[in-house]
Formats: sequence, C-alpha cells, structure tokens
Amino acid sequence: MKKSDLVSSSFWLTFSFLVAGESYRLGLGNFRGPGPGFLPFVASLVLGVLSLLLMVQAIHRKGEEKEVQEAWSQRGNWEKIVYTLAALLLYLFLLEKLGFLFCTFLLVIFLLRVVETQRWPVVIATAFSATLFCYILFQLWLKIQLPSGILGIYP
Amino acid sequence: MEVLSGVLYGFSVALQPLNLLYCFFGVLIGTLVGVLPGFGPAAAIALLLPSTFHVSPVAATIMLAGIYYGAMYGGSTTSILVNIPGEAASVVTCLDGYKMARQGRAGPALGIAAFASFIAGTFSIVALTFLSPVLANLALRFGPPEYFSLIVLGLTILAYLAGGSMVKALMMAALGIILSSIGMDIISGSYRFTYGFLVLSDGLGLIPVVMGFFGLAEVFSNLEEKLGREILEQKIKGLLPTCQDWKDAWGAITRGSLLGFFLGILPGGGAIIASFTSYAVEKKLSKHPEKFGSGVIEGVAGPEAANNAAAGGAFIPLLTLGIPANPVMAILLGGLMINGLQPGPLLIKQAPDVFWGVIASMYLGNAMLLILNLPLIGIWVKVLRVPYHILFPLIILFCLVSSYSLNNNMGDVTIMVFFGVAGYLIKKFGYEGAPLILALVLGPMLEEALRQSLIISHGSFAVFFESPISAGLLVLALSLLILPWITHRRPALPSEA
Repeated sequence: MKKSDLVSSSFWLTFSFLVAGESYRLGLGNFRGPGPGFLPFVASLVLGVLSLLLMVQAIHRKGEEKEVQEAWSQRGNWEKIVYTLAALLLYLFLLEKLGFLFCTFLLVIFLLRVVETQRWPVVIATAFSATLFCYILFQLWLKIQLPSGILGIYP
Repeated sequence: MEVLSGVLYGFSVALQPLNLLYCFFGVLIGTLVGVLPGFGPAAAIALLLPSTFHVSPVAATIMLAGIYYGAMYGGSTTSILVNIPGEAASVVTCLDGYKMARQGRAGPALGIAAFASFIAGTFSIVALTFLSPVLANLALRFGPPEYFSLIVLGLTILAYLAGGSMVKALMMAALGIILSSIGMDIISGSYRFTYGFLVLSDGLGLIPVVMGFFGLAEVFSNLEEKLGREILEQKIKGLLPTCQDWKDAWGAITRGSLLGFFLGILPGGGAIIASFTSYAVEKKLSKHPEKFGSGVIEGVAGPEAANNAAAGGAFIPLLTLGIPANPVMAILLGGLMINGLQPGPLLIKQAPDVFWGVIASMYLGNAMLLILNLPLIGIWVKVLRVPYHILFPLIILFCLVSSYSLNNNMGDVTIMVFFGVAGYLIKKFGYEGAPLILALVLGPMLEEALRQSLIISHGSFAVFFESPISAGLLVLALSLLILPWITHRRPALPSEA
C-alpha cells in the first residue's frame, strides 16, 4: 500500500491546496457571518491535514507490500477498461449528433464484440434487443425525449 | 392509539391496487438486484429513480424502499449457492451458507435465510412503527446546533465503521463536503466551483454520482477481475428447516434482529456492518465457535436477520430526522425531495400518506418476499446463470440512459461517466465510496446548520456545547475519532454499500 498511498495522498494534498485557494477567493466571511467559501475551506483543510497524515503513515510503514501488489498485478484485463471507457467517451460525443438508436446499437456491438469476444449472431441479437428494450422503456413508456439525431424518424 | 390509527391509515394507502403493484415491483426488482452479483441496491435505486417521476410520491417511495429490503433477501441466495455475495450485506452469509450447500443442505440454508429475513424484517418494521412517531416528536426540538452535531456524528460513525483505513474514510467524507458545496450558495446567492458549467449551477447531482460510483465503477472492477462463478448443480430440496435447525437458529435470529435494528438506526451504520457484527457475536456466544465456517446454521440465520433488521431500522433517521443513515437512504431522500417532500420530523404531519403508507407497505412487502424467495427460488437460480457479458452492456446502457433522462441533457451523463472512472480509481487506491456519497448529501444540511448556528450565537462556537443533546453528540463523535489512536484497534470490516 506504501507506493499507492504516497501517490494518492500527494494527489489529495495538491487538490486540497487548490480548493483552499479557490474557497479563499470566494470569501470566507467571519464567524459571525460565514461566507460562501467558509465550509469548503474548512473541509479542504481537513482533507489536507489527513492527506499529510496518510503520507506520514505510508512513509513509516514497512512490509505488508504483498497484499497490494496483488491488487495491482491483476491488471490482465485493463485493456477492457480502456476500450470500454473509449467507447463511452465516443458515445457521449456522438449521442446528440447521431441519435440514440444508432449510437446505442453501435455501443452494444462494440462492448460485446471488442471488449468481450462474442460470436456475431449473439452480438447482433443482443444489441438489437437491448436497444429496442431501452427505446420502448424510456422513450415510449416513460416518455423521455431521447436524442433523435440523424435518424429523426420518431415523433 | 395514535400509532394504531396511523398504521390502519397506512394499510388503507398501501393496499390501494396501484401502490400494491409498485410494492410488488419493488421487492421483485430488489430480489433480482440482490441475486445478481456486481450490482447493488444503491445503483439500482439510482437507476430507477427517474422512472418514478410520473407516479405519486407514495408509490415511488414504496417501490424504492422495496428494492432496498428486497435486495437483502436476494443477496443470500447468491451467497449460499455460488459463494459470491449478491450484495455487500451478504458477504458473511457465504462463510457458512456455501458450506451448508456443499454438504447438500442448500435447502435449509436458503429456507432459514428467508425465514430469518422475514422475522427480523417484520420485527424491525414493528419497532419502526412505534419508535418513529416518538422520535419525530423529539426531533421537533432539534435546532441548527443539534442537527450540526448529529451530522458530524453520523459521518464519524461511518468513518469509524468503514472498512480499511479510517484516515482514508475521513478524507472521503471531507471530499464529499467539498463536492457538496458546488453550485449556488443559498445564503449569499453566489456560484461556487461551477466554472461556467451550466449543469453544475444547481449543484452536483447525487443520482449521476451514485450511478457512476456504484454502477459504472463496479462494471469496470468486474471487467478487470473476471467473475468466475460456479453454480452448485444440485437439486434444492427441503426448504423448510427442521425442528433442530430452528432450535439452533432461534437465538441467533433474535439477537440478529435486535442488533441489526439498533445498528441500522445509527446514522452511518447499516446492513453491512450489522451482518458482520452479528456473525462475530454468534461466534463468540456459541458453545462450539470452532465449527463456524464449516456450515453451521447460526452463521446464516444471525447475519441474515441482522441485515434485514438494519434495512428497516435505517428508515428511522430518514423518516424522523431527514438524515440518511447510508447511501441507499441518501438516494431515497433525494427521491422524496424531487417529489417535493421534505423528510424530517414534519413528514408525519405534512405527508402522512407517505409516512404511514411506506411503513405499512413494508409489512406487505416482507410477506411477498417470503413467497418470492421460498417457493420461487428456482427462478432466481436460473437468473444466476445469466452470463456477465450479457449483463454488463445492459448495466452500462441503463446508467447512460437513466442519467440522460434526469434532465434530458448530456451534462448528467458526463458527470456519471466521470464519477464512474473516479470511483474505479478511488477503490483501486483503497478508498471507499460510501463516506463520500453520504457527505455529498449531508453537506448542504451541515453547512446550513453550521452557518445558522453561528449567526444565532453571534459567532461563538460555544453554541454547540450549550445544549446537552448537541454537546453529547459531539463528545461521542470526538471519542470515536480519538479511540482508535489510543487502543490501536477498531472493528475492521470489509467495504462497500
């Protein structure tokens, strides 16, 4: 846990400095009339102090490295996460341009074929039924306006 | 008498066909969510919240509550048959439940889990029925300083009981409070940390954050780990426990119910902690502690009773104080507020149909769950066979569409994906999501209580120690913070809601 704790505590320490600075800019007010920056400032101080504490704890700790190394070495499947995330970002970018039906269909195909390696019949069948199911549930039943995009066929 | 007429009124609400239907939907979905590993009640309730916008607040709350306590039933099925907890509160059920199943006693294990859940669930609802009006009355006397101290205590208890490092849990609580201050400041009217993003002007939405943390982040973790599961191929027979089983389990169920209920009420407590504590207590009290872990029925009955009792108990702080005890209750609170209701001591007067209707529906829901989980167990075993590669695109899809449907814009979807990635990384580095979520909800209440208190007292912090209730709560919180440093130990529990 030592190395990962050092990394994460440095991150939070930096983050707390930024928040403290921004909170100060918002105006701390005084104890009689606390301003909008008061609570975030206090919370960022707490976060900063605790990050320091965690950092000190990590530096003084020896051994027990094994457990965590195991957690980090299970990274056999990290490509899957990267692929999924990339697909999601692309989905976010294209959803309003290409429309819900088109994007969703492609997303499910990608997830099943590239992230998992399913056979094409399974992929197409699942993508088709999942898209249709969501469309019926959200658009038709719950009356949520999903982006129609280029396939502007539905009302 | 007031309670009795309240309960009767509640049943008249809960028995209306539509509400009854929503109660059934709730417990059905709850059982499903409980059975499916890698998908818990918090994510499920967040995902389904948008779909309740067009029904009455009573029906919506009845359904969402049903998902929560229904998941407690379903979770045990997966633990016993597959040795993977369907949700976190059933982790300990694996220890003895799966061993029982390996010995060919899957039937009695599932049976006692369902009966223990029913008994404890019903007990906690009865206690909820009688205790909450009293507490609501008491809470009417709470002013801003008392609320402030109570919220501080709640966050401290959560950090104290959280799995892993307490420092990290407190850090997540602090981060949650920082995140909760995003958006317009109610008192001064100025915008904080929005940086021109329109979607942040109303504050960071709880629902997309929860979907990210407990939905998408879970998918990422599962994709990485590859869930291997082996379903026990055996005929499940003899679901009704024998007289000997009952004799062995009875004490555990009683203790589990009481323990679970009181741990459930605690702000920051909840079903997960209750189930672990019950297992530890049973092991300690047992005449044969060495047999725990080899398939003893007490090891299933106690924790299963405890997690159900806790699920009932957790409604008390929400309904009477307006303070959620755990992330699931936090989402329910969000749901009530979207429907224009303010949970708290006034709820019982302002919306008696919600207050009593939900309580009464829980009696009915528990009875439905017993039927769903005993005679129909075969269906759930089939559900367990749905492969994860079919399940995860659906979970992702639901997270995307549900978060879009909140406000019909891409902002919430972006927040959901962001917190999905952040949640995955945070867990990877050994932090927990629950304190962050709870602090995110409690943050605005904490800030309002703090600033009002200071305005009342003209800037003197003594106001928090002048009332005995507030002082008592703060002293308790402080001692929980200091205690682990002195004794170098605190109950270590595995993580996640």
